[in-house]
Amino acid sequence: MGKYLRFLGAYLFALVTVTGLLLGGPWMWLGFVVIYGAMIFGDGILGDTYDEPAYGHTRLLNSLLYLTVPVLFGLCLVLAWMAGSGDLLGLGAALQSALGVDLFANRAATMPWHWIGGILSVGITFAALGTNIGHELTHRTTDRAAMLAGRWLLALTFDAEFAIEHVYGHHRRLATPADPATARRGEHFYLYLLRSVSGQSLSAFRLEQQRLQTLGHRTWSLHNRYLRGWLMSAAIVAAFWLAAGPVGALIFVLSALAGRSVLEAVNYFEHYGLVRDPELPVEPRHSWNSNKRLSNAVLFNLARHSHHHAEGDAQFWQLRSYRDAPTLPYGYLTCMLLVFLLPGWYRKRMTPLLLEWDRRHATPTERRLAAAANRQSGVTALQLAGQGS
Amino acid sequence: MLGGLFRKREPGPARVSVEPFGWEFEVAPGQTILQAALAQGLPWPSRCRVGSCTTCRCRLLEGDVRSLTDTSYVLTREQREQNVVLACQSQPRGPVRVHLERMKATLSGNAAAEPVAADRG
Repeated sequence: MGKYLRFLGAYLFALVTVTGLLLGGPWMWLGFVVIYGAMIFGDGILGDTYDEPAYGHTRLLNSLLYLTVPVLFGLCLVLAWMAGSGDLLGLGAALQSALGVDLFANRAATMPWHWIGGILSVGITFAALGTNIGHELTHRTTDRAAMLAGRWLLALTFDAEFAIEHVYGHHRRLATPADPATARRGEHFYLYLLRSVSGQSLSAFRLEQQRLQTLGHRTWSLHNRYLRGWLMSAAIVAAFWLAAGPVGALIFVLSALAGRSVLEAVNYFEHYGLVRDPELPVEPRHSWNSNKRLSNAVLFNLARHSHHHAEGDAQFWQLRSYRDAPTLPYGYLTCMLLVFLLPGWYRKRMTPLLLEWDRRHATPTERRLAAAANRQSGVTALQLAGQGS
Repeated sequence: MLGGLFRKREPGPARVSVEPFGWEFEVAPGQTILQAALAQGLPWPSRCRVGSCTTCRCRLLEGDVRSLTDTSYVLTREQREQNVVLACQSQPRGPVRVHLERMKATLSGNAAAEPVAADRG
């Protein structure tokens, strides 16, 4: 039973975020503080697990993925209520009579600076549930229900195009210079953020354009999934505007951007500095893996990233631990916080791990590619290592 | 619409024959041609396994497959017209015969493909 229950962690965190929003005021920070706090300390204390349990009830696991859609819809409703005025859908009156919570007073006590916490809390929840599960679902490229749900989940962070670029771009070009979502050695996180976001968007557009040409459709038409993706995000912004005015729309946009930046931090550390001979298959060594117990439970085994890229056709519950794969120094949210707040320190922390990767994991061709990457990295320790060998 | 939740199992394994090598193997229901081939230890070329690099592509000569991906992103119109399919994204519907044409092109440097090189040499 525990092996199924572990995947409820993300929902628990969504509940905490919603509770924080409903309480208003400084409680808006609740989701952010609890999620980062619990994950950072939890990963530190609970450590790794190499368990690879077999799952029989795959329908149950699939239902857990789809449950994200109503949960995040509910979260958006609460977000719009707190950001707006009036009593959207009678939520305030309903909660007052059911639970005795005075949403109106909580909203009145919420100052603009409290919203920083609210936006960061919603951002991390959008990423952990929306982006992560959107990723899992949109790998099922011919399952129409999965694609529909997945793309709407991704649209919450302005990233429905991820469903195109991730599968047909990132998985193919992984750990090569052609991949906008592989961070280069020595690359500053915030510069990577700009390169990755714009590069992925451009790549998604080109891939879609190519597909439309193959099928004989015009680029500027409703057949275009890239454009439809942006229309979906625009529709969500418009819904927030209607429900909660321009301030509500702004709060949603900022939450979406916060969520998107979380995805990019994850993209950054998942493949930071790794190189691959483009002629050879993607192997477990081309991703930074993590077997941290809590990261994997909450993120539906996303941290078992080495297996995900080596066998992209595996479902999340099938992902194996790959003990010998290159391993991240910390759990997912710890790495994320370091990448955001101390990006230079994080790069320094990764330098010896990269050098170890070159020695232990790289093929002779990859060692040459790595040596070139070290020379161009601007990181003295990497450059010196190249001269020594 | 709820295909992912209530996918029907296709009955029984399907036989796959691969030209020009004369390989024969069975693909279990729910398995792809590539998964079955690699499980047999056959050196079928592959890289990404998510239907994007097209390294595993082959031409369908006989029979029918269920494609797990939208190949319009990765195959050209000509390839699609010539019944090119991606082994990593194809589940056979009954017995199929395919032609694997990429073998020679990917042999160099592909460790997984070396046994075949040895066979031919």
